[in-house]
Amino acid sequence: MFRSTLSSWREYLTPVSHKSTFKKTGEITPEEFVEAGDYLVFKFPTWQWSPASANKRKDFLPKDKQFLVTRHVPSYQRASTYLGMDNNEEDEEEIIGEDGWTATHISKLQKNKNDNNNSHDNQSKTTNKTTDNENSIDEIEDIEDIEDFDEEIDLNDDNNDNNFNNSNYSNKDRRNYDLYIGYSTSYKVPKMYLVGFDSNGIPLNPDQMFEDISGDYRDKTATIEKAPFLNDTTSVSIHPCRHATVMKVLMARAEIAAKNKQLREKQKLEKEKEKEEKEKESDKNIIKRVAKLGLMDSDDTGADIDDDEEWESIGKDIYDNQSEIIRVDQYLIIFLKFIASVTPGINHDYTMDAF
Amino acid sequence: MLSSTDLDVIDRIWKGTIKISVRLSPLDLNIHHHKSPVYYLTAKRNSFLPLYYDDFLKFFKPYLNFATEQTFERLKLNLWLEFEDIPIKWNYPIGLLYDYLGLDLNAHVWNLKIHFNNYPTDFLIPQIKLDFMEKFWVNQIKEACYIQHSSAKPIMSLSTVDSSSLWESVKAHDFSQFNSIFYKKILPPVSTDLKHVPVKVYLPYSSSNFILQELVEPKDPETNLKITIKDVLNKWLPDLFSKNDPNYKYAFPLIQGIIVPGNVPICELYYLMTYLDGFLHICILMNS
Repeated sequence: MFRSTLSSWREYLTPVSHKSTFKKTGEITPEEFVEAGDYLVFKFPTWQWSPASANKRKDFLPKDKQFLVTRHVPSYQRASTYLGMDNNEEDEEEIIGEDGWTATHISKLQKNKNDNNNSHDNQSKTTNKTTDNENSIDEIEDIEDIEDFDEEIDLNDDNNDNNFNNSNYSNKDRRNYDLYIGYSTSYKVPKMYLVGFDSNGIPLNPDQMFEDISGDYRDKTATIEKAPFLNDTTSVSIHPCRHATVMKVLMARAEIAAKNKQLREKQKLEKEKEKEEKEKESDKNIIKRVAKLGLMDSDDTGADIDDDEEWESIGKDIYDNQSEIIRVDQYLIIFLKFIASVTPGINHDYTMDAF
Repeated sequence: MLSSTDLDVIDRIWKGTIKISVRLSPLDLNIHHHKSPVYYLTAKRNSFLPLYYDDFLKFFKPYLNFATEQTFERLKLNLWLEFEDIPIKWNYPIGLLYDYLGLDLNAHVWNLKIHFNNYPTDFLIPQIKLDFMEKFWVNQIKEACYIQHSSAKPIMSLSTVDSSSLWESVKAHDFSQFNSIFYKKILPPVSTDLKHVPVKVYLPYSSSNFILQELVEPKDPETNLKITIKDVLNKWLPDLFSKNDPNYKYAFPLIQGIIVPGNVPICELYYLMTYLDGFLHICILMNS
């Protein structure tokens, strides 16, 4: 509580900078934030700009573009089940199956099933007991039927964990999140706020929301605070202290990948040009020889030279325009990739490959 | 990499036109008028009919029979065209629609009828919002980009300015603007670098309204030779296009209104004759 008050004080007191340093430092100015936000909203309309109420408004951002929001983003699995980690504080007994298999995930599902009275089998792509929901629930709750789970595990070694978790989903596990991206003046980076709702639309409390943040970040950088641009809404925010460094690294990587691709294309182009020029040379030679025979007009050799010049100018254009490889408006796309790793269970990223 | 001869060919293709006449359906015509007025236009083959809807609407609005309180927007969303009782699919390029009919190019004016009521949702994609053409085109161009690169990244990473400029070039039918983005930023510089060639083959004489679309590579992986259009047709329609047949015995391919010789590599053909939705649409017509 104290920390969040401190951070909002700090935000209030830090002056806003307008110099562009995004490649060097990974930080962005408010103008760049608006530009990147415009790009995000233009390409991916599930994200929208939003104004803020008068008392929450920041004057360094346009009135109608105070923060970005995407609503009703689904989350089907908690972070720990998604990553296959058992980070829960509760002890889980190792249940040894008949063949000596240790069913590490059963106990968690057991708990879920026992907690929920009516479970539905809605993501049952891989389960072989989909026809009768009730039957499958009975079978799950019977610990001795572990050999059935064994068959599922055997089915597909690579996708073991995923299949397993997907096949016995309950609707009640599904949560919905509203995600907000605001601008942090003290760190000069975007800042992520999560507000979650369970499948009945009831707001989640912070402890529940923490379940959707991956273990590494959960203890260190996730904070409970009231979103500064909303009215009295408790959210979980990702502390932005490391954002700038992370963004700098990610953007450098993206730039290198893009540069390499350009280099490869350029080399290919030059090879192709050489080939074409060699062919043209041989054509020219033939034409020259034929011209010497007096069968063709000497004007024809001039036409070939013109072709080459045109060729050159088209080739150059491609590379002049691409000096700016990673633009600031792609900043938020890369930012969302990073956030996706922090909140692995929340499927908010329908954008595109960053690099 | 487009040479000057390539640019010349593309320029001629973009200049290709079709003469169209549009008459108002008698059901929508105001009773004070006995006969519908006729709207004549020379439409660009490499374009879409909805891009002319505004012109149609402006011309026909005074002659409509129902309450003129209908807004421009609502009329536009209910607008549909028909040729000899067949609703015209607005999402196909105009050149493709015309070629599909197999009419004689030089002889005809294409006579269409325009309707503002009873939109045939069974036959046509509904026109839900005013940007329906743009949304459809964006979808097509993204798909074409994905087929070209096995990734949608080139088109998704276009800046806002570039992506709007690309759509503007389609609306304005401006090849140099289209070239500066589609050819220079999306297409790979060398045609054999395409992962696959976006091709669609249409069979208007088929009883089930066939469209064929499979993956076409620019080069045969075994022989490393460029795949020609004849190779593609032989693979997909072996009964109509046999390997040994040098000329088009039973059927022929019509692209942009041109009967294309069989030995042209399909990847080069794509660069020359792609429509502005990123696809090479090929009509297969039967020899009479």
